Amino acid sequence: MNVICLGINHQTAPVGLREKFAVADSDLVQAARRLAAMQGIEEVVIVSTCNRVEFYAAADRPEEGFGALNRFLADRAAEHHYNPDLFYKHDSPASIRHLFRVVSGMESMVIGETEILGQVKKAYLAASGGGVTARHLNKLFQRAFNVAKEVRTKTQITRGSVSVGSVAVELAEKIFGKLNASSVLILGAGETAEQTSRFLLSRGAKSIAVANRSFDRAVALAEALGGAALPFEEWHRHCDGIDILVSSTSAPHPIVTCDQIHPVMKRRQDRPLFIIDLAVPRDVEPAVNGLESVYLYDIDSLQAIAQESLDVRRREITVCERLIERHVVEFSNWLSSDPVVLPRAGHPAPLGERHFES
Amino acid sequence: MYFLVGSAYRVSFLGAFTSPLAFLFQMIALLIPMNDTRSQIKGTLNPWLQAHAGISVVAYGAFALACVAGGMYFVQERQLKTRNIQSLFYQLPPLAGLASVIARLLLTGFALLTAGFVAGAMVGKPAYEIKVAGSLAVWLVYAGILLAERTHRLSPRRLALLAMAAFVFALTLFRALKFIAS
Repeated sequence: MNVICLGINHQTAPVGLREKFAVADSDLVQAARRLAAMQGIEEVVIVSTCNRVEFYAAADRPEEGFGALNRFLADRAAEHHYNPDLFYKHDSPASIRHLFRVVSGMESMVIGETEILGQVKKAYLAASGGGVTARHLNKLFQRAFNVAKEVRTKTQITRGSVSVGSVAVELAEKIFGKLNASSVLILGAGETAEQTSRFLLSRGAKSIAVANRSFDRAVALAEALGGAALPFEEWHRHCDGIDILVSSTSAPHPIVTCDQIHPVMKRRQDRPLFIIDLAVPRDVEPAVNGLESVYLYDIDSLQAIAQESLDVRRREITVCERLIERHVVEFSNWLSSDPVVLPRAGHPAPLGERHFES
Repeated sequence: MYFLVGSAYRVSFLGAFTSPLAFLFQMIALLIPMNDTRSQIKGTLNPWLQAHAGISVVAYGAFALACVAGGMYFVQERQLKTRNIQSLFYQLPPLAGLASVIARLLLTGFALLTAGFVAGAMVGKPAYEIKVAGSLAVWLVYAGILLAERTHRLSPRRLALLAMAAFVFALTLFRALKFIAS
């Protein structure tokens, strides 16, 4: 038995092509059943996300299996021209390796992201529920999920955050722990500040206030975020009660200075204050970071941390590949030595027989 | 002790920091015996004395853990302040969690030390005055720290610093007192 994989992803095809072959969630089971009914395909799982469309199939003869997949895709492409050369084709063990890399986040646009694991699990459950998987793909996907877990726990492929907003949230959580007791004040109503604030709110920030030179824009953003609007002149009066200050105004000079923050920290009895300065030119005087219990991060320092995390993740790929390779060899050995011949998927066969586990 | 502070943060990492220290102290104790075995008390031990010794050891254990947590706070705080984020950053608990653990450990240690004093007073035998004075000094230092913490006069950073300084003070004081007594 062989496992074959045919697909396109964000590295090999533009979104315009990927969307032509994407399979909607609602159509996933039907499409898999149609494919499984074709000559040369024994079992099938379709993984369709915004960044990839991949077909995994168990086939006795890979050429026959690829032929069936090509016919299926040509049929789906309908009036669009289907060019098989744009799709990558893998058979065992490359297909196994590819799946293990995908679920581990090594093939993702953001290396190490974990959302793909959930998406592949969902795809597998749909196929399994539709009765188009059996011994080989069941075992392969279960092994893949174990590999993903092992890669995440034994390597640093998921270490740190790789976007400015998520780095800011991660730093806030390293200062305050859970953010459900943290209050946020935004200076400026820019897009970056809004995005960062939404990140903070999504992690449970208790309350949010917006101060902007244009009060109308402050009100609009505060309403969008479910917070309160403040007159810009009064922002420093509210610093005593906040934990996180996000600043992103277009002021040509620093608007948050040591002279302003020093008395605030005295009144706060040095309770930590996290300042995120997303403005260019900077809104916050760099010397503010010298005050006790103040943690100031500007856009460059946030980007540097994001880049460092990405670099660490890239460096970890070699470690992940070594770890994955052991599982690829083990699974390939099992696959090539497995003597079980099953009834073809999609053909009349009792469902129970098609779902037994190894 | 881990059970008492466990709910505040990941216990394992405090253990990871503490184990090398425990190993170091045990090695020192093994290689350089400081207790004169001839001075050991013979005969039946007074149960109050046993309680005094046992409770006091656990109290100093809590202070030692507070000192370690204080060290962890400074490592984490330094990384945040200098923006030099190392891999340890992702393993260490948040500053707020560490500050809460330090406060809890200091309170636990202080309560136990006080109980140890009470047990010591019940022994009914005269104690070395210099040792009592030293213990009282340590008790006062920790009482002062806790009072300042409870009345919100200490920033988390200063609490961490004082937790470390107080433990170093206690260790140094008892070593000095032992030296003077000998």
